[in-house]
Amino acid sequence: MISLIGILAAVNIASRMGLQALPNIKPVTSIIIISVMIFGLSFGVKLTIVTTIVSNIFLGMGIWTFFQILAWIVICLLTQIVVDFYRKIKKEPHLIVMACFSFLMGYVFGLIVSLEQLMIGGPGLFLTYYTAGFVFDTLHAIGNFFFYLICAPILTKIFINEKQKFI
Amino acid sequence: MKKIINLLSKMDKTKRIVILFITISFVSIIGISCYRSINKNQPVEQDIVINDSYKDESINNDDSSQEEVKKDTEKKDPDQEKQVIEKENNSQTQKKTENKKQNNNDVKTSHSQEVNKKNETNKEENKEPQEKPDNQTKPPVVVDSIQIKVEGMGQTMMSGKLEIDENSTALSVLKTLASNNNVRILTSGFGSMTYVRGIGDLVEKEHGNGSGWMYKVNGTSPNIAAGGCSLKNGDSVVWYYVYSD
Repeated sequence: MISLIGILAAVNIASRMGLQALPNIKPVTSIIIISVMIFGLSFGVKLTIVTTIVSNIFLGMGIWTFFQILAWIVICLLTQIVVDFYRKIKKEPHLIVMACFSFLMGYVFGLIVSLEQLMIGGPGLFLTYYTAGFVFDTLHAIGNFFFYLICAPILTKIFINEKQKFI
Repeated sequence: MKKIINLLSKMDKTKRIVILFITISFVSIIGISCYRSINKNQPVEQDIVINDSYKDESINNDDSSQEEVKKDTEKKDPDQEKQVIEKENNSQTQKKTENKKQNNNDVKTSHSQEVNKKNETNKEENKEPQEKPDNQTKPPVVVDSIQIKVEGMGQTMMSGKLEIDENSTALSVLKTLASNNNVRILTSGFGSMTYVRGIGDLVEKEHGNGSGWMYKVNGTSPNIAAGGCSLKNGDSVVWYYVYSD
């Protein structure tokens, strides 16, 4: 279990640092969504904490670290709600539906991370930051969409054995 | 309320912890931002209070017959310290003020210091220094001052000369001038990002789409917000209303 967290966190950190040049196009959010779907909420929370802290050691630590953790935990919670909903209906979530879901999660991430400015400068600064960052949030969402389409079949096949142990 | 508690108890442990964490963090974020926005408004009011007292003394400094006026306004130890420096004026003014004592007290609004003043003028000079610990200690004789003018559509609404200190900005002197002349100012935002929407009766966007208030310092427009433009001694600030019809 810990080794699973380690492997996925390593993939996240390496991809986040490797794709530094492209603004906000990173597979981190997609991998977190997929891992919550496979392994559950607590796994996702631990994964986000490890990923955020270690990658911010390399990329720069600040007050935004806490807000990134908060944003990804919110995303984990929302995916867990969706998974529970699909379990009640006893169907499998369709690939494209989840891809659209991860598209929306990009905007949620942007919204929560810019909440930090609400503490610093008030609603004026928050609106400025959020509207200025809208382009980045769109890039994040598009990146999420395509990374989900790429990663989901691969990761579900790889971890299907582990999934048996968890449930 | 009971529904929420039932929902929370039915979920498994991790979900409960996560939901609690998220709600607590959001509540604290909103609380901190409200607290800071409320507290940022208060120091500005204190500036206005301090500036009023400085303004009284600045008007005193300008005129030649000031020592009489000095006695008219609050009789604090800083004034007395200045008088110690200029001893000749002291004796003359105190005689005059003792004569004009009752006029001064009629003119001035009721302050607790009026009572002190009556007591002071009744007592001798020697006892006046005893009040030193009570009153404010005063900055030096030379104080920075600036000229400020507010021009509406074609006419000057207010103008004057004000004292400034280290924290004065183009916005704070405008607020001081407006409070001295009982003119209302509409602003939005807070802190150094405040935007002046209207002064007195002239509000933005009422005379054309691009109408509003702008300001210049020493004849040029600094490209920063009024709350962030600090002033130096001898600056002249002009707030003017632009309109397009």
